[in-house]
Formats: sequence, structure tokens, C-alpha cells
Amino acid sequence: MGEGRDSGGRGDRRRAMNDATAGGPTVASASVDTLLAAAVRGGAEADSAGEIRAVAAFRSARENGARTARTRRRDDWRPNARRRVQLSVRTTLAALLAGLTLGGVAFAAVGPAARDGNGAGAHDSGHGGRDGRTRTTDGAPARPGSSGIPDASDVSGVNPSAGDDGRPTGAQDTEAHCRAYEKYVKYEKYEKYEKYGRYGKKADGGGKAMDAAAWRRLTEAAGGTADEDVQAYCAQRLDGTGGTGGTGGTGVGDQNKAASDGPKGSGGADGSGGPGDPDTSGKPTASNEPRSSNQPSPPTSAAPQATPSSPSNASGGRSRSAGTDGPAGKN
Amino acid sequence: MQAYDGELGAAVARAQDGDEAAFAVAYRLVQPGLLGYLRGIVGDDAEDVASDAWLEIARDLGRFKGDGAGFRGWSATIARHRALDHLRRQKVRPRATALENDLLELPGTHSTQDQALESLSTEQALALVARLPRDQAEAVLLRVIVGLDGPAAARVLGKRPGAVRTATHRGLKRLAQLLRGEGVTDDGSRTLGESG
Repeated sequence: MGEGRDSGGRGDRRRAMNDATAGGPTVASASVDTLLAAAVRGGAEADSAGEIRAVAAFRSARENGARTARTRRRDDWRPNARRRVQLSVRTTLAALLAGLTLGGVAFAAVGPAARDGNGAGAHDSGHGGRDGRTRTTDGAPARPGSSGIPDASDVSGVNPSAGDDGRPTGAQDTEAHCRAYEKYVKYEKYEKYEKYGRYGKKADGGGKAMDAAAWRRLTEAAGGTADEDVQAYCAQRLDGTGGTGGTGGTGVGDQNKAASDGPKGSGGADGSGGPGDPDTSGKPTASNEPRSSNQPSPPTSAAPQATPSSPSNASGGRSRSAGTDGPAGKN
Repeated sequence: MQAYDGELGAAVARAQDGDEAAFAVAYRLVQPGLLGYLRGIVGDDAEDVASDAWLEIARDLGRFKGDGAGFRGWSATIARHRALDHLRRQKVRPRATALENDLLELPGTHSTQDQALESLSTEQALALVARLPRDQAEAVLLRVIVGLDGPAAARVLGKRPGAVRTATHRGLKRLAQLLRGEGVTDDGSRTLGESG
């Protein structure tokens, strides 16, 4: 290696050294590193005196009691893979827990007020009309069969988005979420027409995608954070209901707009994953959430969420995974 | 990956259980590399610093966790700390003081390259390394003499692997130039702006 490119026999050592010499005349018969090593090693006479000293030190250390000395971080030289993985997992979990804690505290603080304000567990798109319609629809079908799944999200003990626990009808909410999500996905391709207004009308000025809490519930129910999981789950859920109807429509319209705003900023951005309907909502649940950007748009960052550790995600992805992966503990 | 890392790992494990002979085996496998590395940093005081290092290695052996390659890295870190302490106490950087004279008789300046290389002595080799910037010298010594891989060398030095890779590369290039007797002249392959 080193300059010794011509000496093909040094290939393994070159690889080991991970060094690519950029050229220049070569040292004729040997590469520099091999030569250096040979010169230095060759010159090392049997260091018997040093060895005796070292072994004596070993002996006295041994006799002074092999107290179980703690392995400090700098003493841990086990093969790297394990350490790095542990470190990254540990770091990710710490970040998730921190985010969940913050989100849960915030959401719990506003939860009761929200529920009182909007009746039965309003969603948070902040569209009064939509809320009304949604609730109506939600009220209708109580799906016994699948109620178990949404309930899981309510019960997920660690879920710091305490709002879930307070929601009376998880199944109905999930269904509405599904509807909204489906509409969103379906019309995602029409983003370019956004300037014309998706449905020509919005209930309010804001337009948001599904709020973080709704998305989280959906993904929990669906058992995955990927689009496919949610779509599959929603397809299954909504088949029985028959027709999404226009109930989700307006809300979806806003969702679509919000979706196109997606990259702008995920509501859950700060790792709290709380619902927070930050800005234009006019609804009482107006959150204490620290962030004020729009709701996360699920599909854009759903995919990256698939893995628990998502350092490469935008903030939205991270927050959502905080919301979903943490408590549910699955994925 | 050194040829004897397996043997070294086994010896270290036995030494941790109290096997004195195994510790001696580990010493013999590791000391040459450590000594060569230390010579590049502290020059003539390498043996003393190595002694200090082995005291600490023997004392903290129970804390170590890892295989043979890990032991090389761990012991190199200890040696480096002792060397830096030594330098701080001395407040000088006495690298290869007595060795510089050898440079004047470096075979490479008077004979063909092959001859120069083959007759390169330990002292001369280390004297050349001592002429490198400190970071390059350490990187080269850890990679080539101690036999650490990139990540391990980076850990010993407390640097990013990329920085160590660069330093190693530049150091070796510079060494090649020195071996060819090109201290100052430019033959088109001189590195512009050495690191450190």
C-alpha cells in the first residue's frame, strides 16, 4: 500500500489500510508501510527486562485483589458493531421517551378542555363543519368486531398522548380517520391543482392534514407506520361502512391541502406527537403544543418512520414515530 | 487485522483469569508495536513510557473487555496517555534527538531505491516518521506499527476515522518521498500542504 501500487502483492495489506495512493512514483520493491513495519519490528530485540517488569506488575496487581473493577467506557473494546448498535438504540429510545413525555404532558393538559368543547372526542382538524359531520357518521356504526384494535390505542399504557385514553369512541374515530386518510391518498396526485382549491371550499382557512393524534391512532390500529399498513387497515375498516360519503370530504379537502403543505412542517415536529391543532383551528383544543406548524401529512413521512430509529427524518417523521412506536412497542 | 490477534485475545483472556505466563505472551505480542509507536512520539524515552504503560495495563487488566485487536487498541490508548503525560512534564517534544544524525547517512540518498529500502534500519525508519507532522506520525504508527485498523486508530487518537485516514495517507506519501531522498525537491508528486 502506500506508494506501492506496482507491487500487486500488497493487495491485502492495502485493503486493510484502506488507503488509496493517488499516484506518483512507486517505491520499487516494497510498499512503504510494509517496509516501515519490517524495519521497526525487526529492530525490536527481546525486551526481557521490560517483560520481567511487566509480569511483576501483573503479579502484584493480581495479588492486590482482583476486585471486580468496573469496565469503563474506555475499557470496552469489544467489536464495534455491538457497541454502535446499542448506542444508537439507546439514544433513539431516550429521544423517543423524552418526546413522548413532553407530548403527553402537553396533551393531557388540554385534553379535558378539548373534549368538553367539542363533545365526543372531536378530531382536530379545526373544521367545525367537518367535526359535526364526522361525529355524526362516527356515531352510527359501532363496529364491534374491530373495536378491539382501536381500543388498543386507548389502552396502550405508555401512550403519553393521554388524550387517547379519554376518547370515548376509539373505533369511530379511527374510522373517520381512515376515511380522511383515504381521501387524502386518493387525491394526493392532484396536488398540482391545489391552487384551485381541492374541493373548492374549505371549512376554514387553515387546511390541515390529519393531525398527529389521528394519524397515530390510525397507525397503531393498523399495526404499522407505513402507508401500506394504514391503507390496508382502512380498506378493511371502511369496506363494511360502505361509502365514505361526503362526510369526510370537506375535512379531507383540507387535509389534502395540508398534505401538499406537508413538508412545511409536521405538527408533531417536536417529538411530542401530541395532537395539537396548532394554528388555524379555532377549536378549543388549541394546543399548548410548542410548535405551531401545520399538522403532519402522513404519507410523506410515513415511510421513513418504518424503523424506530429515524435520524434521517425530518422532524415530523421523528415525532410521529415517537408517538406510535414508543407506546405501542410494536413495529 | 494482525496475524496474531487470535492468539493475543486468548492470552489476554487467560491473563485476566490470573495466568501469569499468558500475560507474558501478551506482552511479547504487543510490546514491539507499542514501543515503536512510542518512539515516534517521545523518542528516546520510549522504554520508560512503555514501562509506565504496562504498569497501568497490568493494573487495569480486569477492566478490559474485548478481543485481541481490541487489546491492541486499549493498550495503545494507555500508552498514548502516558506519552502525552510525559511530554507535558517535559514541555518539549524530543522526537528522535539522537537519531537525526542517522539521517545524514541514510542509504537512500546515495544508493538505488531498492538498496535504500532494504537497508532501512529501525532507527532510520523511526527517524523518518519523526519528521512527519505529529498527527501523521501517530496515524502511521498506529496503523502500521501497532497494527490497528482505521476505526481503532481513530478511537485511540480521538479523531474521526476520515481524518485519520487522511493523515495516514499523507504520512505514508511523505515517508515515501523521504525514502527517495526528496526532502525538498519537487518531482511532481510532492504533497501540497501537509496536515497538522
